[in-house]
Amino acid sequence: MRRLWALTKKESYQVMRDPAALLIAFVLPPILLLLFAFAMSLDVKNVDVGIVLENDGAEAQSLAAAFAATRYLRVKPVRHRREVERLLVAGELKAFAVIPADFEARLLEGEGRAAIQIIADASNPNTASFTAGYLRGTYINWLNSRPGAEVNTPAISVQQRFWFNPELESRRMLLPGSMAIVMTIIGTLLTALVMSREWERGTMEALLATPASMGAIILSKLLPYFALGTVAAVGCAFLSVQVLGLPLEGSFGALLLLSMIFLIPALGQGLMISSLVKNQFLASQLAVMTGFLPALLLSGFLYEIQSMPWLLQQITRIVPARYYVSSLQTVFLAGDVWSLYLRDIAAMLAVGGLFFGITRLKSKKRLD
Amino acid sequence: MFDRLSASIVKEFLMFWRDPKSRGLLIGMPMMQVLIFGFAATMDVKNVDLAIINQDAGRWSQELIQRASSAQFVGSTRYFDNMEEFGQAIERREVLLGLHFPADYSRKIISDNSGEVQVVIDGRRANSGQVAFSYLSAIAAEMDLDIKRAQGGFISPPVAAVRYWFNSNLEFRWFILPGVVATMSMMIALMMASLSIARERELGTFDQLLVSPSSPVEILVSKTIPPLVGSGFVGCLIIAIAVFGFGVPFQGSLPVLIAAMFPFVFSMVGVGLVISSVSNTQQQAVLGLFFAMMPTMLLSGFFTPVENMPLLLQYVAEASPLKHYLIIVQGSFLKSMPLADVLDNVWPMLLIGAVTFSTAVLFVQRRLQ
Repeated sequence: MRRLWALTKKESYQVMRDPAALLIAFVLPPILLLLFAFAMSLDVKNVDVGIVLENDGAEAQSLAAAFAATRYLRVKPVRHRREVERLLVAGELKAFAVIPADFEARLLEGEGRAAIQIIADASNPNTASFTAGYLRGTYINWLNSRPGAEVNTPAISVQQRFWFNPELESRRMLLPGSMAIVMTIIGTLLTALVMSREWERGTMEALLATPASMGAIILSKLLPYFALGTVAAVGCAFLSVQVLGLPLEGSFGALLLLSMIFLIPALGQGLMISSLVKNQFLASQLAVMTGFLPALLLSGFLYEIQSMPWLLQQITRIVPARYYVSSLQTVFLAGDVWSLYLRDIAAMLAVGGLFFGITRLKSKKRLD
Repeated sequence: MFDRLSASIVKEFLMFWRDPKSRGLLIGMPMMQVLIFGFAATMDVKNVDLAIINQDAGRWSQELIQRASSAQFVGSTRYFDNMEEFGQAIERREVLLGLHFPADYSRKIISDNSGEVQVVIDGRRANSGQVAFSYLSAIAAEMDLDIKRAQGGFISPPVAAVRYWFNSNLEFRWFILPGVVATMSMMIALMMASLSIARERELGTFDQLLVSPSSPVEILVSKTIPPLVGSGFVGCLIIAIAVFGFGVPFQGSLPVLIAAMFPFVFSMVGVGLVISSVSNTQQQAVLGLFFAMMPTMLLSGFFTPVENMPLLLQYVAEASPLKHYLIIVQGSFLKSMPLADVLDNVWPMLLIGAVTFSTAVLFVQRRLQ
């Protein structure tokens, strides 16, 4: 025990002496969170849209005015189709609507025949479907508000209500996920480098020659990063709630507990990587590939897990960030749901156990 | 001087190529990325767990439930008697959304054409919730038309014809895989470059390089070539996988795209070398790499469009080489972008590369004194 304490002290000094480590705990998290909060907005706005007016009649002018008055679009009137087609290829416009020369005649006809044409640049499918849908909605509203037009009220109206995020701010969804990414970088990436550094520099032999057991050596290396990760988690939570306006519906204790439990599989994964490859360059690549990118793509924070193919869904089961994201979203937005926490905690512990088990099999105390 | 330069380039290549594991990674990592992105990154919504809270006894709620639960995007349907039970299930993330029919739903449709159904969505998963909601409203709108047709004398208004250019079926993969070409080239270039000097420094061999007759510029040029070749190779590999493996159409000019890859990779290698020249250990370099990589990626428009960002960040985004290269890659794949538009995005990358590369030279030179 005293040996473990001494080793931990040595490792902690090593971490503290390294300005990079402190940068990680105190500078990286706020920068990442701010970037996620401000750069990653899923709320579409300021979309550049062209309106081709081939008809000068009053109806056509009134529809063009309706398009120009919308909140989310920046409308650019254009005379000729040719011109907008070029702008669409260049990416300066995301969509355009054509009000054809025989617009008024088409309006009278009804049933089936299209009165206007909407063309969207689908090289980004999300923006395209939003923009086209918005243009079409504007057109339908304009149709229904025309004087004399038979008001076409639907018999069934469908109301939507979002629980846990009523204003539908994308920031609220993204912040818990970005916190999981920060913690993955600290937990997995850095620990992957610590152990492989000892091997690469040849100082591992020196450590192995000491009477300390392998378990004590490993534990002493992990504890400082565990502390660093916990500090970062508290910092992230504080920044999100106090500055970025994320609510904390659940309890702070639950948040802390979840974060500390998440560090177990995260650190375990870093440790496993460094015991598999004893070279920092490879370790960092593997950590990015199996730690950071899955946390970004397979944790359910950007892309819905249930929509993925079956095989990928099974792979997400060993991504610790998946469980952390699920619990974090709940603790921030919904409140304490212990049945969900316990399920996620059990899963994180199981994944952590798996990683530590593999490490144990791979790292015998010997020199080869 | 040329002999010396080529000798150090050969040395840099050997340092990387010697190790079978790093060779494996150069192939394995992009392959894995393409597969994950190709299959995981989807904005489609499938296998949705739908909840039904039906307090209505009429036939119209049954009709809508029938249509909704047999829709393609629904994976399972669960029935709840009241909102409390439903509330517990949605809290535990067992269902994504619930259709709630109030008691007077069918009666109101018959009496005054104003049935109202409520859809409650888990806001923690608002992205997929919104998509699922739009599917549900389309189903309701279709049923609405059927009700009106049944009542007789109804003429639907003239519609708006919507066409999607460049990607008529809105395949998300066609958008994401060209982006992977760019992000993977970036990651390989950044990683190889940012660890290069840091590793020599950590192992103590950097001082040997500094006392060799090579000038700082020569050292940096020799360190630029392997990442340039490595990430160029990876870029081409992913283009091939996207086109032949996933059937993403390639409309533009391949030589232009490959030529545009060089200024891009050059600018990223420049960033990597700056990181590497200020780091003392590889761990610090990896950290620096994240500092550089995250903003470059998040501001590039790969995850969310640049137009959505606050104005100030849109200007900052201009400094992200990835933003310019993404426009070129996506334009080349789907739009057969004209050369003039490509060049518009090439010069900013060259500018960024020139700035970062000379900064790196400066840092290494200072180190010499």
